[in-house]
Formats: sequence, structure tokens, C-alpha cells
Amino acid sequence: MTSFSFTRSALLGAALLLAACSSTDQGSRTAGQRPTNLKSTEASLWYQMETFEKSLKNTGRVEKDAALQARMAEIACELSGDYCADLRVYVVRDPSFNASMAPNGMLLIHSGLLLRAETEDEVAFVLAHEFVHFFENHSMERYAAVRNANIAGAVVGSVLGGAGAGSLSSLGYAAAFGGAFAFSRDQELEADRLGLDFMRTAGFDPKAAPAIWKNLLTELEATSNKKKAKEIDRSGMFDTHPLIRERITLLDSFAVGIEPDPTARARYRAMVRPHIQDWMMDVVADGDHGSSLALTERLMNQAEDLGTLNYIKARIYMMRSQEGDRAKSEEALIAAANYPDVPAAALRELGTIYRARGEREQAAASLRDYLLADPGARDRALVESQIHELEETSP
Amino acid sequence: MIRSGLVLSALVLMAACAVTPKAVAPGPVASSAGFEVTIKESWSQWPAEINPATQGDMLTKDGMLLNRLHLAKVKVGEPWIRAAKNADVPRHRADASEIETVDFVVASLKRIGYSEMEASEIRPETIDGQSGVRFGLNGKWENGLDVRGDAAFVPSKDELKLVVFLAPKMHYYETSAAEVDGIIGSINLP
Repeated sequence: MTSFSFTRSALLGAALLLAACSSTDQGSRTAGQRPTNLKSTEASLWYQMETFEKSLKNTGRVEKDAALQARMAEIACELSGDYCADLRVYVVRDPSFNASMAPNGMLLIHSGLLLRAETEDEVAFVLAHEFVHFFENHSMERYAAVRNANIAGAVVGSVLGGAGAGSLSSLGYAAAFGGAFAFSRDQELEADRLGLDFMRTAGFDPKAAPAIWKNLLTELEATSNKKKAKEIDRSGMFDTHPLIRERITLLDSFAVGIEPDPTARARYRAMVRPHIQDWMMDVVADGDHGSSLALTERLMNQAEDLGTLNYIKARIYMMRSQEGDRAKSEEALIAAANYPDVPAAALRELGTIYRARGEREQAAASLRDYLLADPGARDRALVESQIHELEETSP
Repeated sequence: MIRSGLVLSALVLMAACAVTPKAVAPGPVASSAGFEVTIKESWSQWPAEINPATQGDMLTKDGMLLNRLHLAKVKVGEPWIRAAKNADVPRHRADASEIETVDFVVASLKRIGYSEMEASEIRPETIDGQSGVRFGLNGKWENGLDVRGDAAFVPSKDELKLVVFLAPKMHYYETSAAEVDGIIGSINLP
């Protein structure tokens, strides 16, 4: 997510290790606290994040689902109590599993994370974890560590240089900024531990905390990307985040569950249902077919949205294009057609498979069915020409 | 050994300095994508070496954020956007259907700062005698500006020949749309 190269990260890490000798503890925030000294570093960071936040709203990256945005804000309020008015939560369209907290109270949660969560309790853990970063002034502590290392100017300069002039509104800018002052390993562990306390107090199930990481680990282990596969258990000298397995062990040991709510999964799925196809296609487009398949199959385990999810599965097989994948794709598309939520595009993909196999009549019939199911199809002219060609050349 | 390395590095740096945008006069324009287009007005051509986000050349009249015409070839298995070798990014496939290739272009644009990007009016088009596809584009640039565009591609087993035009919806798209239509119609494949 950051624009840092390994060399710069390594140098920054080394400098921060040296700087860690001096204390940077900023203490906890009070509710409603804002920077009072307008010439302070905190005020400067606050202003930059406020400027970013204003521009973020116009980027088209913020999900327009008002009910979803409102529910995320509600959960953040339930977790943070008196600090509710200090937080603003934005669901941003990004397929990665991520969330971030800015020192001014702007909390970004990626659609890729909401797609992978199975209950509101899991989302609550992520929001609680991010809130702890805010509550404990972790950004400012990190900035102080950077300042103590006398490299703050160089870091900010390289971030701004890497992000590029005029791109203050980009998510890349926020990511680069966050990366430059990435929370330390101790801060991450503190956020996990205190996050669980906030969850428990607000009535969410703390067992959801290790659950979301376990599901992510399963997805990562299924990756088709050899480089990513090697990195799952690799701990670099300057890594700031705990390894996933270590995190799961710690969360499992801290988290004492409450009576599970049998309707939790179904309620959560209903909330994200309108977005599943788009969010999944964002994930699928990046081409990690192994992880995408693992995620799709996990979502299918809930036995809901099977028209949409079988269609997604078919698209992954089409993209992976290994021996036998066309047949698997066809099988998934036929399965999708048995469910009321089947996307019209599944009929088009079936037609495409039949067309590639030279089964002209069947291909033309499927493509016609597609146009009937989606009269306003954006590719109507293309599909009509394919039908025409198939029928013209039929024996 | 070290000295010759330094000399070589200096030569490479000097060569990179020589790659700058250049004005191109009306007429046929060759591109690093391996095909030609014909322009009716003067444009600036940004060579592939200084195109930070995507593979291939770009043409612009008023600046990259106001109008840009990408001329690219994308080899099978490679992304259109610039990315590390092992990065998870959209990649061109030899056996992709027409609609999958449209989705590939749209997904690539989303990765370089465009949002809400959607294809429209996807239609077949004969391009220099070969079967190709044309479509419209609508979305937002990362600063919130509404953008509109046109795209065309001709697939082959080895690579995809791609033309993508993008401009702010307000004023700039309409100003150049007819000319871009002519440019796409003028594609001269090898």
C-alpha cells in the first residue's frame, strides 16, 4: 500500500529502532480533544488529514450505500462511547483487506474487508482496533519516534514525492502517509488487546476477533501468487505488524466468547448483499485465482446468494483457464441458473462457452436468453452481432 | 570495471533525459504499440518511457488531465498498467472473450486512480479490416472530476492492440470526441 521501497523501509526501520530509546508515549485522548496549538505537529497532521477527508468525499471511492455507511458509524459509536462525535467512518471501494485510522478521527474501512467479514462482531473488532489507535494517540507517538530519529522531514518529503504532486485526494496519498508513520508492533498488539475490551463492553462477541483472521489466513494460504505464499510466515527485521498466526493465538487467548447469536451471519449478509457481486469482481479482477476461489467457496458455505456466487466462481475458472476450467465454469454457470439471484450475465457466459465449442444453436439461444433477461444490456450491440453470426453460419 | 559501469549509467541517464514529450503535426503518427493512427490536429506525444501509469504512448492536446489518448499493445499474461512482475493486477489473456477484455480495461483503469468506471455501448467494429470492439467509458478521476471516454481494441493470440481516450466530461470530452472517433477509425495495424 505504501510507496516505500525496501531500502527506504529498512532505513526508516533502523532509524526508528534507534529512536525508540527515548519515550514517545503521548497518553490517551480525551473526548472532543483537538489540537490547541495551531503551530504544533499534531495540528499540521490534523489539517492535512482534514483536507484529504474533504476531497475523499468527492472521489467516487466512498460507497454510496447510506444504510451501510450509517451502520458502520453506529457500530463505531457503540464501541467508542463518549468519543462517538470524534469519529467519521467511510466505507471505501477497495478490494484489499484493510482499514486505517487517521489522527483527526477519519476511519477508512475497505469494501474488501467488509466482503470478507461474516458478522458485525468481526467488523466491530476491526473498528475497535482502529479506534484504539486514535484513543491512544498512536499516530502522534509514531510521529514523535520519527522526529526523534531526525528523519521526519525526509520521510514526509519522500511520501509527498512518492504520492506525486496534486494527488492529495488519492487513496494512495493516505496509504503512503499511513505507511510512513505505520504503527509499531507493540501498538498493533495494544490495539488488538484494548480493542477486545471495547468490543466486550459494547456487547459484541470477542470470539469474532480471531475468526476474521483465521478466515483471512485460509484465503492467503490458497493464493496462486508464489511471492505472496512465501511471505505469509516470513517475519522481516523491520516488520511492524504481528504475523497472522501469532495474532490469532493471542486473540484466541484473550477472547472469551459470549452466547453466539444464530442470526448474526444472516443479518450481516443481508446488509452487504447488494454489493457482493461488485466487491467480489473487484477481488477477482486482480487475478489471484486461488485466493478468490477460496473466498468464494467460503461465502458459499452460508448457502445464500448462490446464483451470484456460482457466477463469480465461473468467472474465476474462465480467467484461470487451466485444463478442465472451461468445464468447471460451465458447471458453475448451470448451477447458478438454479437460483433466483442468478445474474443475467451468467447466460451470456454460457453462450460464450458454447460459442467457443462451436455449439452454435445452443450459443445463440443462451445469448438470446441473456438479452431477454437484461434488455438494457450495455453490450447488446455486440451480443446481437454474435447471435447474427452464429445463426448465419449455422449448418 | 567500476568506471565503465559509471560511464554506462551516465549514458543511460542522459538517454532518459532525452525522452521528452514532443509535438506531433497532423498526419500519421507511429507509436511504440506497433500501429499507426492519423491525427488531424497537432497533439503532444508522450513516449512510453515517461508514461508513469500504463504501458505504451500517450497523446494529449491540453495536458494529461484534460485529454489523453493511450496507444498500447498488451502482451498475453501482462498488465496494461505498470506493475511489479508478481503483482496481483489485471492481466490480458489470450482466450478472454470480448466482454472479459472490456472488463480488463475497466479494471485496469480502476487501478490507476479512476473510480466508478463503467463501460457502455459495447459494440463490434471492424478496425483496419480486423474484428475489434468499441465502447464508451464513464467514471471519475481521483480528484472527483467526472470523466468520459472512448476505447477500442483488436485482440489477437499474442497481444491486444488498445486505444483509450479519456477527458473530463465537461467541455474537453465533447471538444475532442469527433476527432478521436476519426483517430480510432484511422488505426493502421501492422
